[in-house]
Amino acid sequence: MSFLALEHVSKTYQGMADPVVDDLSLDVEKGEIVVLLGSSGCGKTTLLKTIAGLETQDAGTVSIDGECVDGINAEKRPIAMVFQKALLFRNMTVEQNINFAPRVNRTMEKAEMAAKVEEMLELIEMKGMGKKKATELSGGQEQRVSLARALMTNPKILLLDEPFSALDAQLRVTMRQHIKRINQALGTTMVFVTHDQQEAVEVADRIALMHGGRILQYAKPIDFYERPNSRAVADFFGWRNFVPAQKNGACIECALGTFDFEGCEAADGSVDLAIRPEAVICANDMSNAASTDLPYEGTLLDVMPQGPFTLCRVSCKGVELELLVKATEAPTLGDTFCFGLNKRMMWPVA
Amino acid sequence: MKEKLALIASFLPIIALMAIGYVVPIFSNIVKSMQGAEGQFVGIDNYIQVLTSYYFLDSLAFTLKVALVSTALAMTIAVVVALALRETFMGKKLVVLLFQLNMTIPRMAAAMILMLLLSQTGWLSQLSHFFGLTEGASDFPWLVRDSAGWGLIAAFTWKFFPYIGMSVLGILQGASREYEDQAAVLGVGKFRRFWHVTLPMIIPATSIASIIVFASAFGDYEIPAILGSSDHRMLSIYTYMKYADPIMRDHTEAYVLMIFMSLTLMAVILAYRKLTIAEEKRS
Amino acid sequence: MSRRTRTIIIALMLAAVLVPLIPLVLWSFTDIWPFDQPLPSFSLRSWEATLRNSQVIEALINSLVLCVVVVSLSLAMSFFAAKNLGTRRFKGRRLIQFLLLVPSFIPQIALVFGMQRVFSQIGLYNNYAGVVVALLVFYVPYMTLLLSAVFEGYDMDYERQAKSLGVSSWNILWHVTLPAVRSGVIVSCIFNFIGVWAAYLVVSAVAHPTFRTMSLLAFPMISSASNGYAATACVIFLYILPILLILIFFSKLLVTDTDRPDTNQTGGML
Repeated sequence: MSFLALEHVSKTYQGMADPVVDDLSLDVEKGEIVVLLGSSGCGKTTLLKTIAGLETQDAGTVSIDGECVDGINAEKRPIAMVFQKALLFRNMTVEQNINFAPRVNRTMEKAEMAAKVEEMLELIEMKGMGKKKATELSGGQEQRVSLARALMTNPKILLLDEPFSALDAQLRVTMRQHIKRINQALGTTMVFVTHDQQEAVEVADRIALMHGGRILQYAKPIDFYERPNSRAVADFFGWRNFVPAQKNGACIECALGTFDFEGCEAADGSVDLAIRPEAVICANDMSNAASTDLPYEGTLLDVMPQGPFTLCRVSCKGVELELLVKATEAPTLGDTFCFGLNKRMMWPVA
Repeated sequence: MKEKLALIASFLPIIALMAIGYVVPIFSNIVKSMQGAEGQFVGIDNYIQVLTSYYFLDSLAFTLKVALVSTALAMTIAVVVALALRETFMGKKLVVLLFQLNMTIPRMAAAMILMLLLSQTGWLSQLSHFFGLTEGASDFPWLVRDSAGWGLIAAFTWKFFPYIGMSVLGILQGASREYEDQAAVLGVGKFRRFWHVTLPMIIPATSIASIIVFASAFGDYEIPAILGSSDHRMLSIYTYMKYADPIMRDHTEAYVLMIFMSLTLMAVILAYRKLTIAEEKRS
Repeated sequence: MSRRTRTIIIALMLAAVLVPLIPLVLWSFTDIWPFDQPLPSFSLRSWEATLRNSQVIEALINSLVLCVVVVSLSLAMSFFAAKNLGTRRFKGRRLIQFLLLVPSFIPQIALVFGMQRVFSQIGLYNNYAGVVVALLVFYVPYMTLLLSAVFEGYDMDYERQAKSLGVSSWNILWHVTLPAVRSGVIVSCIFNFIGVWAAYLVVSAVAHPTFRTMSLLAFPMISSASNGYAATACVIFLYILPILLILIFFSKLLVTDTDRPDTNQTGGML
């Protein structure tokens, strides 16, 4: 039985034609970090609010730790949530913010509460800052306090709604590390919403890629880079080359040759063979090459330096490919380009 | 440099108006308030005389009472109504518009309207008589022009509670919402959310608006002129009486009263500024 | 708050706002209303008399013209000052804000007679110009504060952008600034209009004895009202009517929070 189970959840906002969450089912294991990833409007925040109890779904059920929570108000659900804004109570100190819920609800003894606050401050690496006023903190500090405040309530599930999007890039990286660390230290199950692919990949145990209120693919991060289940998913995750091909069982035939792909669930017939730009292999080291028909010989159409890498547009066997080559090995325009392709970075998509 | 000149120039008309409109007049009042019967300078003698007189103190006490009670009532009603209005419901726009109606009714009209309703010969009295609750006009309680000032309090509360209400409503519909949601997802229940989150958020705006209501009730002339009694007078009426008095000496008294009111209200402005600047800094 | 509690509170509020208006309306549509009748008999005599009264018509027109004149001048005199106040932080800003609040807070009775004396020495007494200036003294500061609140939400970057594109100052004002603050300006003008419309003490202190506005006409009628309330009721009704019409006409602007200047910033001039 999964720790958090959503079954056939749907929601349409009043006055809108299309549902914002469309017959969505999701399961989260205890202790996991699951990321809901997608661009704005895909329904991820609404879904999170539905789990929290701030929104009510039109259809479907939400269960936490085996118990259905539908109809139960947000304050009574075993969840806690952190928003994009830290929303620290301005008239209180850091300590008062962190112990807000147990203090106001009188669910903890004073001594116990003080000890736990100290624990939390250590966890968020803000030891000794308990007496600081909420208004004296930086953006990153505010969010850490917001996290501690949520964790203080011992939630079964921690929900995070784009908690780092208001912070600058460097800070975001540090905060992601904090989240992973806290998850490992406390074992708290987390559902994390973001539109940032990089953030999702760094934080998640599993990613649910959403679009139009549905989940396109729900898998470990690496799967999106090796086995995207559709063109839409591949597009989102930076696959740039799509070569028309014919699929017959595990056999894929295209202009670049014939390949064998086990476990692909796309329907037989016309597919696209998706190839990552990083799939390119130097002609000197063909041990990982996709086929024996090598090396490929292509004409270099365009060379675009991108710092440590160079993007090369190559024409080969009637197909145009964009390949990311290390700058030190980059060819010059006019050269014939010999290369191989790493099969692990190729996958058929519908 | 050109920018600075433009800045100063934009304020010149206002400064000119303020100078002839109240800066010079206030100084003139100060001078006149310190003069004796023949126009000689008597310093603060007049002040001591006027401000310790029985009728002044009575008037001051009465004015403070009316202003404070009106403000307290307006504050309570406004917060309660704003809390009821914050959700969306059918016809909300119309109700919010009507909520603002009283603010816009001219004071003398408000006074008249309440008199037609609440006086012994007013409509409520008529209905009460018709349904047998009272016998004739004189059996109906004295609600306006009463010595306790309830008519005045009713008028000030009626006219000014939307001030506070609209201010509070703005906060409840805006900033307060997300903090309440945050408290909810931390497991804090409805009443505790209101007490620990909502209330601290509406107190600043309520205080600021309440100061305005207090100042308006304290200094108004029209409503007391229509609904006041002769037992106790509001300061504005007392001042007018002294000014319109044909005896020269009491004319001076009037100036003392005017300066007294000016200084008192300037102190109120300072309190108001302190609160508004603190609010500004917070957001 | 439960749904039922909410409905009760809203109903009570609406009753408190609307019920007092009923006797006013009833009195205007009758001639004589004996005490023992809960509802009066319908008669249009008072209305006829009122609308035929040249004094009433004159007062109405005077009030309307005065309001339009004062509001227009207020807007012109306060616009740029308000813009500076709202968009820039300069030395003396706090002091100016304080000074602008004085006419809103200090009781008019404490200011009006001094003003009368000063005005009579500079020829602004007992004439129309004096009335206009006297009203400006109170309502320009008010307008400035209202508008500066509007400008607090105004982003100067739009103007800087236009300037960098080589647009002239006049065009920036017309095509960039005014459209951006349009609804805030309109609401400020509405509040200003309502304030001037209701002004009594200021006008009566400075105006020529034969000059009548609706407030000057209504006040003596109210103060001395004997049981002949019908005539007074008609005048009061006429006095309130333009306000109601403005509220209805501009209702959309007055109900959305975003564009309304916060009345908290401005003191109580209404």
